[in-house]
Amino acid sequence: MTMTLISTISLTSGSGNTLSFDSIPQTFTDLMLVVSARTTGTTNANFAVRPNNNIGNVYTNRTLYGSGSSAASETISGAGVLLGDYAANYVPNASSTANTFSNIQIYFSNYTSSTAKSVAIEGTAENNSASTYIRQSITASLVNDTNPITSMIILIYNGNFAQYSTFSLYGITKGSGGATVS
Amino acid sequence: MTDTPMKIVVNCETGVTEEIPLTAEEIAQREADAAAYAAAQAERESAEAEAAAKKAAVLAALAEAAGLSVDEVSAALGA
Repeated sequence: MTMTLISTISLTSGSGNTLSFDSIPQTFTDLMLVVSARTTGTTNANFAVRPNNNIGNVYTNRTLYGSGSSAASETISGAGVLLGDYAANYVPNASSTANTFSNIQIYFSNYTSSTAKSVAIEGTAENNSASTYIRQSITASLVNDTNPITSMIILIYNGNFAQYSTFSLYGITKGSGGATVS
Repeated sequence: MTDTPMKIVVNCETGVTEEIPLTAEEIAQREADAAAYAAAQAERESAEAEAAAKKAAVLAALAEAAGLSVDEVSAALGA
């Protein structure tokens, strides 16, 4: 198995709330998106990913999350629901501990297949504070889109991505004994 | 003057990165998404508050029955 960096970007200014990886090569087995982000907004921002900019009713997310004092789980699916779900993967805001960013990893299995995509997400919105909505989460998601993933839109819904927010897209190739779903 | 929301586009094939304004359609979609998020969050906060209140009531009842403090009961239960 090999892991190859496809593309990475570290923002030099906080001027956008949407980032898109386009023309994703179709030569790997799986994809992994690694995000370290912060928002310029004054409250934590919901973070979400939309493969192929699919805004249809194709996402189902089952999340287990904790807020430091409690743990819960929920299932979210429906029209317009974005991969990443509502509860988890908050991005710390301008009032959060300085120089502190979220850590989010999203793994897309068999992204070039003509079947629905299984996705695993883990993330935490880092902050040195007793704040109710600083969360840690693991999510199992299904993207019921049978098209290969050729692009990926990443969004936050409060403020812009802060300076030094970094987004890295990796391609993972199966080992010699591995198999793929086609 | 309201700043136009921007989108950063990274072309994985060429390595070129550009910053372009969101279209009216994209802005409308964002607003719809944000509204849906806000509604779901409000529902979640309500459910969490209700669960917390129920938990507090149970701990208080157990503490009273056991002649212990709420903290002692909570520690004993790992709650």
